[in-house]
Amino acid sequence: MSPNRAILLVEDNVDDIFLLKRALQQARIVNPVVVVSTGQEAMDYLSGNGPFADRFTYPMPAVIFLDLKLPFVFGHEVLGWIRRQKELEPLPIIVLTSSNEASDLSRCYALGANSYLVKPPTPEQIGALAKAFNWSWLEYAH
Amino acid sequence: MPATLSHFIFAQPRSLRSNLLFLVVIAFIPILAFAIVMVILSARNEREVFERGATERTRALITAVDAELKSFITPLEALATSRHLDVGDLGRFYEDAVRVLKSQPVWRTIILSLPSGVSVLNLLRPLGTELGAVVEKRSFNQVLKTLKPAVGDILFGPLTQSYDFVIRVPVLREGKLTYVLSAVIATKSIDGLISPQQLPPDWIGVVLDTRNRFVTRTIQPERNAGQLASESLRAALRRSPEGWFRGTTVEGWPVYTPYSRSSFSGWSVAMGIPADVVDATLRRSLLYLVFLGSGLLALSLLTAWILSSRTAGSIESLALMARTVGSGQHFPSETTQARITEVQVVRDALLSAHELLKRNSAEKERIASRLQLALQAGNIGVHEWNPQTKQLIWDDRVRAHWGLSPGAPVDFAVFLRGLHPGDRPRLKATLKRALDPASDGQYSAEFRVIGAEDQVQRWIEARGQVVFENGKAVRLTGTTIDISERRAFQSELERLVQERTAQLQETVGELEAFSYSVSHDMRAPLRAMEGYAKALLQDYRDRLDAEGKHWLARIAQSAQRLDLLVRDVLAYSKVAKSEIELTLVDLEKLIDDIIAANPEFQPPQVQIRMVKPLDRVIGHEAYLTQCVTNILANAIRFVADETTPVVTIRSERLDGKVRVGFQDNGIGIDRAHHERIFQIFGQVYPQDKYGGTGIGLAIVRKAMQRMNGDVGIESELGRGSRFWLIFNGEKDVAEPSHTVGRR
Repeated sequence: MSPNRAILLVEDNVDDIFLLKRALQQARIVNPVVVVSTGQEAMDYLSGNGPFADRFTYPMPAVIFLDLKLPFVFGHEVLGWIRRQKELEPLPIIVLTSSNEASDLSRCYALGANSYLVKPPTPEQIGALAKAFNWSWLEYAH
Repeated sequence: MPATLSHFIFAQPRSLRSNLLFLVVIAFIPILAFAIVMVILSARNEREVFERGATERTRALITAVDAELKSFITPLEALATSRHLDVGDLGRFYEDAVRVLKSQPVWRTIILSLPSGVSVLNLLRPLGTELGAVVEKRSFNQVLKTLKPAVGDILFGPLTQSYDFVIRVPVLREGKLTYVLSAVIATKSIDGLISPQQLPPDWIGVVLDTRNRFVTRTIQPERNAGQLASESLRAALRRSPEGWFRGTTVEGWPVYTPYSRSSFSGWSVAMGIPADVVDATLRRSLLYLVFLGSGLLALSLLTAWILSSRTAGSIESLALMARTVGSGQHFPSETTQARITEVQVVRDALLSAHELLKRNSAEKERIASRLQLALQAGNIGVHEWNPQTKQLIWDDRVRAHWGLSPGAPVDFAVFLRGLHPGDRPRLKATLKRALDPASDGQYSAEFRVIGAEDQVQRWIEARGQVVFENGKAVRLTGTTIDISERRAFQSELERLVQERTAQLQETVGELEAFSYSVSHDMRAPLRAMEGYAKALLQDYRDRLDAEGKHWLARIAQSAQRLDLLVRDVLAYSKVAKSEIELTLVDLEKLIDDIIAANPEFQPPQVQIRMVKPLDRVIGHEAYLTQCVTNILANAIRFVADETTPVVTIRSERLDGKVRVGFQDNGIGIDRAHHERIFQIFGQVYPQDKYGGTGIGLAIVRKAMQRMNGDVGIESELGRGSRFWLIFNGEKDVAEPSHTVGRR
């Protein structure tokens, strides 16, 4: 199995999807971005349930960008769920938040998020994040 | 008897009068006894003097009798020496004798007898007449025996036909008795010696011969001559030759009798002094004593009676006064002076006591009525309970609190029955605690009472105090108040508070949801607007003219600004409402962290200098971060073109407070706007030129206020600004009053 190189974006807002993808693009990151729009989908995806069993189409991600404001199943529930899955332990989770309010952030960290990005992230912020986590799997366009 | 007397004297309370009378009598008895003894002694003394006087007189009389008798002897002895007798010439001697007889008027005759007892010569007979034997033998024999003159006893002379007596002398020749010469003498010669004129009246004087026959007697001498003296006198004479006795006369009259017998003649003199006369003195004295004593006693008793009446009256008036004083009634203004000093003193004392009492009781009444009014006005009931006697005293207000009618009988059981069953154990425990001598005795409780008569439930508050004596609870006193209304009001209030709190919590919840929505949902479209505008500007740069680009830039800016605005408003509202806990904050580290986290606060954009050390302050780290960030942001923002901002931070202590100053080199703010800049949206400078939302300093001020501090500014236009953050002193950190909100 090839090493994980996909980025899983859990986000329901198309504008935010656009802006994140654009920021990645501007940061010249070309790794595949898989988008799911609900918390349930995210959990199914990671569990490999249903159509997500096809890991060719839906590869295991190297990182999750998780919006906390999701329909039906809230982002922090997804976060909690992921942290309860033993096999997902090394998976870094970057929370996408619309505020950098302390209450939001402390809750993210408490639930086991690795870091956060305030929406919309700039290419510079994504670059700094990659640098901080030493993500060697990121692929850049030349 | 002594027991009875002492009982009488000491045991029973007796009236002053009987005491005084008793005292008088007791004092009088020894005086009377003394007087009696004195009278008796004096009477005895007087009688002794009298007796001695009478005896002296008797003695004098017997001496006078002896002298008289001796005076008869001398001429007879002279005759006895007649020479005619030497030779027995009786004729011549007869003549001599007749001559002598004639010179002696009381002499009856002279007789010459031979020692043999035969008379040879009697002048009453012619010489040579045959004469018989000597009649009176005793004195004759005495002469024969003693050869000395002797006095004979009285006898009725057969020749003289009268009571006479005889004096005999011996006729001695050459030591031998030759004749006995006798003179017969009339008793009247002796009569003169004890004549009544020489004696006090009533006195009887007697002269007795050796046979105790009357020689003479002052009463009826003729009849008594030769008679035997009284039996008592004769007995006395047999006892002793001289003395004093009480006896009776021959007539049977009681007399005191001094008597004396002559050793010369054997005759006696005695007096009869009527016993009445002698005893009268004593009787009179005693009589006087009795009269005088009785009079004095009566007088003393009368005086004691009057005095006791007076004293008793005074004391009774005192008692009346005391009772009046005690009863607190008005005093009869009596002005009469007491006639006894002590009573006057007591009276004055009572009067002043009454004055004091009057004043005190007036004051007490005032206080009591004030208290009563206050109790009435406050509907405060007063209760008192004696844990020893179990006696319970309630006023009618307490009864009303227990739903009882006025005056209804109460006891501990009534008290207990009235209590709501749910509150009974609690109240019992409270009382038990208060009654414990180890406690301070205070109690206070709120409980329900079910009215005994009206079945109405009342909330009662009782407060009071237990009084202890010698480690025992002796009294429990306190008040009760009907707090039903207050209770109802309280529970209504509590209900309202709960309701409002619930409403508030709901509102707060809504607000939080709103804030969350604002910070998350409302900003999402803004971010989209900005993002798309920027994307347009980037991706369609070539196809837009300058104006189109400018407009797009304005859209992006506006979105950005609105986003900033929303964030600041949220920050402000959060500072205003959240609960914080104050701690000691290391300002140096905090500022270092802020600078490290924000590239725009780092050189070369700006120079921030700290004058170390900065004092530690009492605050909240997040709020302080916000304050410092905002002030620094302002310092950087409001600078003249081409000027590099420079901020100098220093701290100073002032009146126990810490002041942290941020001096910048900005454009400064006119004094007129110093207050406005701290208000929300109180922006002074145009946004386009300097940016900012106009909320930053409002947040600073609010945050500082929440940290019990303040913010201030010193600034003038064009001279830079100095912002002050003022904190309470470090030492106050431990005090709870500086903690804001819940912990």
